Amino acid sequence: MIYLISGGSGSGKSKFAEDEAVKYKGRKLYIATMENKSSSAKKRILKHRNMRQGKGFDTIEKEKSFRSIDLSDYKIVLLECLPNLTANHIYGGGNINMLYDDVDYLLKKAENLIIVTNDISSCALHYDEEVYKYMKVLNNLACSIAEHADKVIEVTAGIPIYHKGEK
Amino acid sequence: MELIIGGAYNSKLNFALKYYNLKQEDFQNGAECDLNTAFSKKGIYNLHLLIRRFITSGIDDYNKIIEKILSSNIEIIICNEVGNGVVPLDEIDSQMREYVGRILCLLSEKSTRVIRIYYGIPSVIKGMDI
Repeated sequence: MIYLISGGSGSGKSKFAEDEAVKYKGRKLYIATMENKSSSAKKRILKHRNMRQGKGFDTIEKEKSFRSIDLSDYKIVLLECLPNLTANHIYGGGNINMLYDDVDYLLKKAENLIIVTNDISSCALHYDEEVYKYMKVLNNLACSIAEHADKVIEVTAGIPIYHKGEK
Repeated sequence: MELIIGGAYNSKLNFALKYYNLKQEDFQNGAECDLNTAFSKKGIYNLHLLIRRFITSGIDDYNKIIEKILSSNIEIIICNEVGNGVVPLDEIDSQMREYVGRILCLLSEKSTRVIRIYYGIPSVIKGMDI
């Protein structure tokens, strides 16, 4: 089963994703892609760690290059999150092919997979070209994941809306 | 008339090309087409950018834009939803944001079907299911 879960900031998408993962019996892997150097990142990471506490995840903190992770023991893999992974590739010494390759590896090798992304696409601010480029890469990738996904779920105010698949 | 909305880069145009079996040439691109012939083809995409261009060209009433659309024979309109997020500080951005919202309300009233696209997946929010 492949899930794509999206929503705005603080929408409850991460909690929803974790709760879906917990429904799977067996080992669960959480891939955390956020860079862990800045103090604001450290704060967010701590918040997410506390939220996951007791849910039984193994956690790997990895900004990119997933092919070195052995997924064969895991019943379910949760990737948090696509916007970070995209930024890590575009701005952190990767490229779009390597980004697609990372996602492709998860799609093919994970027995069950949940990918969390963030809906950044519906505001009117006229950004500079670089932001549109990022937005385009991120959402094109999300659209292609949605095509492969069994479930595409938008979470808003903690409530899941199923665009593809059923509860 | 059918209306297709959704966030930026959600595969709205791709969906329309496949679903209506059309070619990109059947659509005007609101980002760059001639303002006088914007609604002369079967469809248009990037309506939100066209609206922005109408504003910068001096149109100061969204009803005038609606009149242009409704007096044409356009069948398919594709537009980004831009009303979420913080009100932009830039006057043009903020005016565009409101115009797009108001224009979409009226267009959806006049449309037989309104489809919202989420990462390429359609939800019919008005009219017959697909």
